[in-house]
Amino acid sequence: MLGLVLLGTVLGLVLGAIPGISSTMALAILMPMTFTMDPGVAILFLISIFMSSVYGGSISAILMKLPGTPASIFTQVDGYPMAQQGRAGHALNFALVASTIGGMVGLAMLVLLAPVLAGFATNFRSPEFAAVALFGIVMLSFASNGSTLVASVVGFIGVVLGMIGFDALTDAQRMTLNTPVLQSGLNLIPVIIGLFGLGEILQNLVGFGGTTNVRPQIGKVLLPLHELTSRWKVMLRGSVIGTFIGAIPAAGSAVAVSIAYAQERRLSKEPEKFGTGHPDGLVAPEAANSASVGGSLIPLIALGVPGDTITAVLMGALMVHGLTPGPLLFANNPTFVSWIYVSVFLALIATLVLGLGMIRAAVLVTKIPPQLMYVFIAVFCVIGAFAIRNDMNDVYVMIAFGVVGFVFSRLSLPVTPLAFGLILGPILEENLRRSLMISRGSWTIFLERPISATLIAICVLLVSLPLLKLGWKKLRGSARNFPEKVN
Amino acid sequence: MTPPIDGFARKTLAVGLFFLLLAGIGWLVLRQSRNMYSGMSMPGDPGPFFLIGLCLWVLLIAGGLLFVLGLLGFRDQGETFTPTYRLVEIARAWALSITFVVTLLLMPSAMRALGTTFAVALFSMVWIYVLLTAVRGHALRHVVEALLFGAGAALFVNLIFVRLLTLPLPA
Repeated sequence: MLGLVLLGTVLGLVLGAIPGISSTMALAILMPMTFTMDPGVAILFLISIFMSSVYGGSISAILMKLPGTPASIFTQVDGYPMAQQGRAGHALNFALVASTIGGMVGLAMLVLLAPVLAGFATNFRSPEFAAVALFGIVMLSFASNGSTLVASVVGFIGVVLGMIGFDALTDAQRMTLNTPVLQSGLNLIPVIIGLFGLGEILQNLVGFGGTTNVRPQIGKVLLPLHELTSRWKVMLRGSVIGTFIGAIPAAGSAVAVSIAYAQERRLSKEPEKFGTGHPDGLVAPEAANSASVGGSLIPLIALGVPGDTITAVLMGALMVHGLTPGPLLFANNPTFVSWIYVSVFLALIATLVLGLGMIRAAVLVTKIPPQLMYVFIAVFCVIGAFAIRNDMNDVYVMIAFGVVGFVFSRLSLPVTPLAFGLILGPILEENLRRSLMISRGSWTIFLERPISATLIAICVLLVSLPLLKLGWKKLRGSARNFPEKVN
Repeated sequence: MTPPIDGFARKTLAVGLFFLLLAGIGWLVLRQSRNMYSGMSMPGDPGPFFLIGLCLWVLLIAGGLLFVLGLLGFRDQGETFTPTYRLVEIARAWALSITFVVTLLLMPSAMRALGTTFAVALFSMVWIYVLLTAVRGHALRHVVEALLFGAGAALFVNLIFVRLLTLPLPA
């Protein structure tokens, strides 16, 4: 078991460090390796990959100014100048320690808050679950880059895709074209592998010309202890921000790190040094990044709603192993919930130990030619998609969704809401229809219950926010023009 | 009004058309599903096609709106439609991705015909060579590298997925 933690951690560190391979992609392409494992062993392996790839993403950000994951964007701002100054070893060390402390704070919050939230969620009935599913789709659309409305529409495309196959209530065939392949619905794993694995490779191949990298100097690796202890407040602030932002469904680690960085710069006595290699500018986003992992696991475990894309992949993995996250997981399988906590803890320790040992080797990881990586990943994508049900049709589904991911990225459409819609669509539909059957077709059932009413109100507000902003701008514009017109 | 997709009229128009196309296909498939269904709904149940229909309506309206906004953007930004030489450039940039997809589509057949290990070796060798030459031009060294790494990938797949995990991959 310890060997699997170490293997998962090494794979996560290596894959996370390669630019263009996100934590989600790393998890998606390695998930098929767990299909033959016991659920507990599988989750331990996957969490090890997850946690270590978060730090792995910072390696290429610090050494090459190429964030391995979207959440490492702010790591490069101060990490890369440190590497340029010959302090790459110190920068990697700062990032590793901050990442570990952030992860521990996130884990502590997960242990404390998840049972409370799950206890609360046991009072949820169909209207609440329908509202939570809708809330998840809308929140993710709101947090996606670009237009909220467009992202919401992409989420609804995902909902349609999620309903392909036989209807559980009436046995009606939906969007199947009467073909056996579609009758059992789209399997989540090939879709995710296609969207996030193959889709990214196809995107990287456009205008492919390779990269020429300069091998950075590592310098001293070990940091004086006072350099770390003097920054405990920075780490704590980053960790708390990361946990709470990460716990908001769909807010994600990228949002958490940007808020943590901005906050630290605002509080710093030397904000002008941020961006030139200031350790605080590295420590705060790193702590937030790692803490957001624990945060994003809170809604997943407590409500069965993934906090971001990567937890959506984890949710898919749990479902493959016959476990449905949510309040019932606490009631039916509390040992497994505890095992998730232990897995996060072990993964953090393994990342710290192996990360320290691999600081000098990290430079080599960043030198793997992208040509090799793309080909190897494509092979993993094909085999991973096949392995889920030993069905070649899943390979075609994976390739189709790879093309979808590619087309979406060319059109600047966010892919994540599509995956979210696919996961949450069936939950939304089942609970929506059940609620309406209970109320004999009355939609007021969603407004009569305070939690569902509040969530629906937030959804409406979020979706209409761009229109409200536009109206407000026009109102202000006409108010400004009014005196001129009078004059 | 600024077009909502990256502020570009061209992209907004393309997304609008894309959504309209998806909605159109969706409606056609949904109509076929409805024709096949002869069951009865339970009291209060809006039926198995309700949410799909609702989502397709949203898609249709959003597509129409983006299409109109794209057209208005074209007028306001004084944009013209993409000239042919630019389309050729785009097609050239996409060539690698398109070829990659085509070869991946052939992979399942190759796996059945040659066995997984040989299919992986063939795919990896060809693509590693293509990508290496795309960056540095043709050289004998790249052929050797492609052969070595391709064989390595095939060996890895054979050892891990076929022997260790005993996945029933085509042999």
